[in-house]
Amino acid sequence: MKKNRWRGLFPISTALLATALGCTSLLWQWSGLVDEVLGIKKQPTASGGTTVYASSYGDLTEENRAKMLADLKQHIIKEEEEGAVLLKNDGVLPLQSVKKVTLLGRATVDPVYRYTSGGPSWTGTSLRQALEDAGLEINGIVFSAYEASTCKRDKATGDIGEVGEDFYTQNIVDSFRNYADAAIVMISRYGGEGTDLLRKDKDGVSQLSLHESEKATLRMARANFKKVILLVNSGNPVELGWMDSEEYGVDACLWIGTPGNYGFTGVVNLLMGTANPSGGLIDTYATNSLSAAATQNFGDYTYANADEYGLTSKGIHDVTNKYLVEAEGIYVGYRYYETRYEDCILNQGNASSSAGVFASRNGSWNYADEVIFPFGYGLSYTEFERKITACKTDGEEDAEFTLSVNVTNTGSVAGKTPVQIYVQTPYTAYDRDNLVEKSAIQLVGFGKTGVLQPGESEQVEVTVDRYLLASYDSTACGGKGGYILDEGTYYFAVGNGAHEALNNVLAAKGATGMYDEEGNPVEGDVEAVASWELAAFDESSYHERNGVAVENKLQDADINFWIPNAVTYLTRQNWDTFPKETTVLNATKEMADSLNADNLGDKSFESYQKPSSAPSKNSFKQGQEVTLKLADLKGVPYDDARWDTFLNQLTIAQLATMTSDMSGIKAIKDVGFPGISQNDGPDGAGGVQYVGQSVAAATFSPEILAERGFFFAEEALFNGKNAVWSPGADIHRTPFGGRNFEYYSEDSYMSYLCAAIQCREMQNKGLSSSIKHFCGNDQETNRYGLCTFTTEQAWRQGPLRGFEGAFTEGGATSTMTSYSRYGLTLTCESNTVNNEILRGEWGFVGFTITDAGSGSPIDSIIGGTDVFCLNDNAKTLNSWITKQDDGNLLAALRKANKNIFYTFVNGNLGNVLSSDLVISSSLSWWQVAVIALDCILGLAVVGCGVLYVLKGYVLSRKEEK
Amino acid sequence: MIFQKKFQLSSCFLTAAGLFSAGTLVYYLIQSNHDACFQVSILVLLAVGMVGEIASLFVKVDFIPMLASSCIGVALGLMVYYALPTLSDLWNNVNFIGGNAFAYFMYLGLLLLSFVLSVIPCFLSEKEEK
Repeated sequence: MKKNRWRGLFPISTALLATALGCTSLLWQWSGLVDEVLGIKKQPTASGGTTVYASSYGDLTEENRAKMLADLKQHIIKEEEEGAVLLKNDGVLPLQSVKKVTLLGRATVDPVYRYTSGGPSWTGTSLRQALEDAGLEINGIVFSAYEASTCKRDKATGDIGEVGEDFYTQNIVDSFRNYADAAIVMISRYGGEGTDLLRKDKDGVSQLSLHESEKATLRMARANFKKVILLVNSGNPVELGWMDSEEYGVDACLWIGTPGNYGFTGVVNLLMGTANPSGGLIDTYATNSLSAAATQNFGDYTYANADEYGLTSKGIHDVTNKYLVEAEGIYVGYRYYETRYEDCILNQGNASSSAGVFASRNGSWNYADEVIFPFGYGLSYTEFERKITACKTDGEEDAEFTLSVNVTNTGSVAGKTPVQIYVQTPYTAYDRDNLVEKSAIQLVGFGKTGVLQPGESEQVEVTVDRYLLASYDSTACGGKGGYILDEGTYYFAVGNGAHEALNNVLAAKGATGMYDEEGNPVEGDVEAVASWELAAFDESSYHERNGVAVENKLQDADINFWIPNAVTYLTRQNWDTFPKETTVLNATKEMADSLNADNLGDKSFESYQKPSSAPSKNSFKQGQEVTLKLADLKGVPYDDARWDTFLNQLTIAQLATMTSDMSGIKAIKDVGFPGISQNDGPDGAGGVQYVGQSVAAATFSPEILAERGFFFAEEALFNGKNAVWSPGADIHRTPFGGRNFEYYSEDSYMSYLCAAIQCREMQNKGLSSSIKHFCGNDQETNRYGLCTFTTEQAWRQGPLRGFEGAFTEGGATSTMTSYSRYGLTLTCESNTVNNEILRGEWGFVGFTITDAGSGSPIDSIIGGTDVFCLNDNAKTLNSWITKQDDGNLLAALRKANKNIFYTFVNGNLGNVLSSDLVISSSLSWWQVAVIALDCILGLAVVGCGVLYVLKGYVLSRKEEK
Repeated sequence: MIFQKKFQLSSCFLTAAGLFSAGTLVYYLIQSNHDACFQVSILVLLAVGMVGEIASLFVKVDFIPMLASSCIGVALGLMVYYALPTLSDLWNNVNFIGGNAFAYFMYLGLLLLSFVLSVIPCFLSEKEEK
């Protein structure tokens, strides 16, 4: 071959080698994930260890895995049966004498099993399959036509992917005649990670409203079928005020959420009557979703003077120019609608004004016009009566209440129902003077009956923590802030949802003029209410927790801290304060400096400066002889000195490597750490897609939520997972949140209660529940680095409250932080929240992990982060400590390592830890193949180079001679 | 010299490669700081490659185009390394890694073109052309 060929092949082979080496580096970083995808398991081998957390199915054999998965399938079906919410039933459900049905809406052939987000893919039962399994015949002509349709959903534009009126040809319409027993119409909505639903989509309307294409389908159904059943396949509350329309209304409606692998079997069981609906809504369904107080500020907001101060939006690390002002304060979801309703009834706070009117017909705010279905509401095929028979205080200093609720099935078929406990706390002159906001009604506990036969009663006891009755007051304790309990009467109430419970409270207070969500006058039921008196104002009970003062810590996460009176937060003192959209906000120089210090500048993204008092790195003795293996630390208390001995054995490089999670943390053989494996997300982390977490919450069943946690942990045992990024506890701050489907509810207290139950069960089996995204990730738009502002009361009783129960009640040992900011501080870099509140006030012992790729390495470690998700910052940390001789950062890194090791040694990893643990260091087959490929390319480069030199210089000179 | 040989194919490609690499370099220098894709290693490699392409128009050292092209090739490989995590989000239809996928596509395209233009003259011989 001529020399030029080699001259040309040399750069080509060089480019290929460079690319291959780059890919090799990436594959090595992600080796845990690659192994998982290829089904390669590198379980360490050990004998003599003790199984700390055993599977309830016995040994981890394939046979027992099959048994577990069979039970899990039944659990998922039950979750859907008990979580789906019957919203309307004009006697057509359960379906009787129905054999041949027509499925209408393209969604029936392309359901939204779950939105886009981390978690397993769908591999389960479709709607059609579930119906056919139940013995129904499906109209194949229309089904095939939908399948052939080119319509598709598009998250970005909000295209709901439904066919238009012209789709329904005469041939399709003619086919209805042979499948006319019932029409099952399904409408779907779709969002996901990074994508909220749109307040104005490609059709120019709210994505949650009924679209013209859907109206066409419903008209078709109404005109051709006597029974029209609507399935609402959405993780977001779709506007349903049209259901009684003569033109395109429906006879029955079932909210099914996102059904995951097997939920459709549960849906069909409900339709056929082999199961009876018993779910309650976890969101308020408004006539117009734009009417929520929170929705007024939702979406994309850029500081008006961002360019002037160099605030930018680039990549993940350095988004500094976006903000969100949550001007609704505590009034998220039903807290807004129900509180305003009470003030309308009691004629206070100018509640009936025109501010915030979106659907009220006479220009004056009216609950029945604005709300279609209240929070907690749900129908059954039977009816129930609920009475509170006793309210006992219990525990030290009456720290708990036990409510006894008598539930009677007054209908004609068997069924079960949630028992939702709400409370109304006194709203006093003190509160008004000090701007403490109070929701007129607040969920504080729930339980569920067993299956009650007609006429049968059951006494359900629900425990309520008195802490949940307290309100945060920034002025309490001499201005230091803290939780307060106002003197006065506290009303506990039950009901079919928040609105009925509030009406019962109003009745107990002697109010008149109440009405239900349809505007029908009601009197309320005083027997569904119990009261408790607090004689004196109390600001001391919760002023200290775990030895830490609970006081103002988030004042700078309120925009009014930086710019006085920049925003008027919603107060029930005057409903004319209904939030206005904060579209123009200028950052002050001080704010910009704070943001820029965390960004750009020297391109290191670090604001941390080594303190002058920082000790030398040599004040710690790293890399000492190994005398303690990780197995020796099983059960060793967190504060035991042996932890220091253990940490001393690691080099700085090893300590830094432990902070890197690439779908797992790599092994350190020297100290007997076999590495750990983590997985994502709230709707399944082990290969099986559960029903959406919001459906699980809608069961209002402690038993089912615990069972969900149980199966997460069982799957983890069988799949070798040590932590999962689950559950999700951000709140459905607005109806448009793209990830509402995998969070519990609009109500942070509901999240508190649900997360406590689920996490406790996960932890009981040794699975570290990395509840996410802690916290304030309540919109996906601009989630990277979003400056989120609200009052400290709203932070504590809103986003933070949603997570609190997971740690204080559920014992969660890890949490994934969010991408956003508390005010100006990234969550993963917030010492205030991660260390002072989470670890301080709440007594959390465990590790925090960033969301993927988030956070500056050093600021994050200093700010209480322990692990970086899908991000390797080991070199940066190691380099800083070494070059700067920074013992301060080294101390923080040691603390992070301790948190990580402590969590895992006391989790299911403990099952494999023993003194004779053998940690495999062999390469996977793909790693050998990749190395071989790199070597071949390397040889090619050398070969081309050598041959070029030979041909061009050596041989040619010989020829010339 | 260059004008005397202006019709030689290799010189044409060298000129095109040099100019295109220069354009890519300037674009990368200006744009990459706005989308957080800037890597000094890529900039240096591209600059060396560009200088090599242009220098070889004036200095007839046989291996300079080869080394220049290799530099651009390595820059391309590095860009693949930096871009892949971001592009994996597109593949998985998620937003885990973040980053500006469009920018990476642009840089990858420009670098690939620069590389192709630079590698062609390596296969061509001025003698053979004559």
